[in-house]
Amino acid sequence: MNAENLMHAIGGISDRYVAEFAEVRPVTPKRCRRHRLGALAACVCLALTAIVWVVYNAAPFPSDRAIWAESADAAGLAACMERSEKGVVLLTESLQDAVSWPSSNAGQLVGTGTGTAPDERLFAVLVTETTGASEEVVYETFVKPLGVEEDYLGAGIIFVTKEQLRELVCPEGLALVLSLAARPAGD
Amino acid sequence: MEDEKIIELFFDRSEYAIAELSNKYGAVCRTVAMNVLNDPRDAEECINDAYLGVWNAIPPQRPDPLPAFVLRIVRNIAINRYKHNSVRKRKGNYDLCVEELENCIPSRETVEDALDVSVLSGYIDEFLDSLEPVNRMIFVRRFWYMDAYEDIAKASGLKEGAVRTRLSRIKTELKKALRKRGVTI
Repeated sequence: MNAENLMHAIGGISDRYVAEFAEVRPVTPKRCRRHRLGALAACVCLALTAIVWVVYNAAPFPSDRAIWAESADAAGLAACMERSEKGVVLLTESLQDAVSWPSSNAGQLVGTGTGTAPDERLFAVLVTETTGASEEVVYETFVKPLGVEEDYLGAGIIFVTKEQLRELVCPEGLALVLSLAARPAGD
Repeated sequence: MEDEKIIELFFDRSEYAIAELSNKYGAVCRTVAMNVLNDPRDAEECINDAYLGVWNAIPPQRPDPLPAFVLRIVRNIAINRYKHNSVRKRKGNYDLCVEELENCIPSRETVEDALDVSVLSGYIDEFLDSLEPVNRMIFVRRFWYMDAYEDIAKASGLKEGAVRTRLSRIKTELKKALRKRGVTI
């Protein structure tokens, strides 16, 4: 036998070996184990730092800390809707109770605060327009200028404090009724 | 396209059979042909001849695995063309591989060389079975596919020097294995 015959014999090896290595892709050289562990440790530290930052600095979503009604105040809403008038924002009794609104104001927004410490509680308020204006008009003229957290176009809800409620101004041509919103199902 | 469907195109004598075969295995066929012939025109002719060979063989054959069948035809045609080329400007991979196998020959002192090549191929199969996958790949890519060491290094993720060292050890092991089988010259 000579080398040429051996080469010829290698040419006759099993098909499975020929097929096994028919397609080979370039392999990235293995990196030093220490370098890989170091990179992994750096990624873990970065991830932990980011998590800690988010936990301590990110504000919870308004719906998580707002005050909601246990159930929808349909009756109160209906009563206010009957009394509603253009240019006026009415609050239902349930909302008034929730914010500890002075009963003498009859649910209307009048005047300013009485000099007490600001109430930082956030209320989930359902906004109902009674003249038939479109949601978009209400959003553009009333909700958006408030600059508050809201989901008006989705659920009709804005999140406001007592002070912000006091400062609400009803756009001309709209008649608004505000009630304490019940938490949407699945939230 | 799956191999079975390509074979069906051959059976149907479809005009797309060669095109689909070329799409799937053209690149590796070109690699093998170029490794042996080191000339793009020669390699292209070799591949075209190989495709004709496949066309004539299928049907009735229904090869499995298909790539091994095609590559074997390409390799054989390429080696034959290489040997018959009247002008060899420099040693090709084929000659280099043959030289490298010189020290795998167990002995030069027996009287005759009567060993059937197919039997020897069987012994080599057994030897390849015993190797680690990376070493097996290095051996097959060097001596069957006739890849350059640089390409084998890229494929294995090893440095070129490491590939040469491993191959040297593999050849020593092959020599021992053949000697155990009583393979002599």
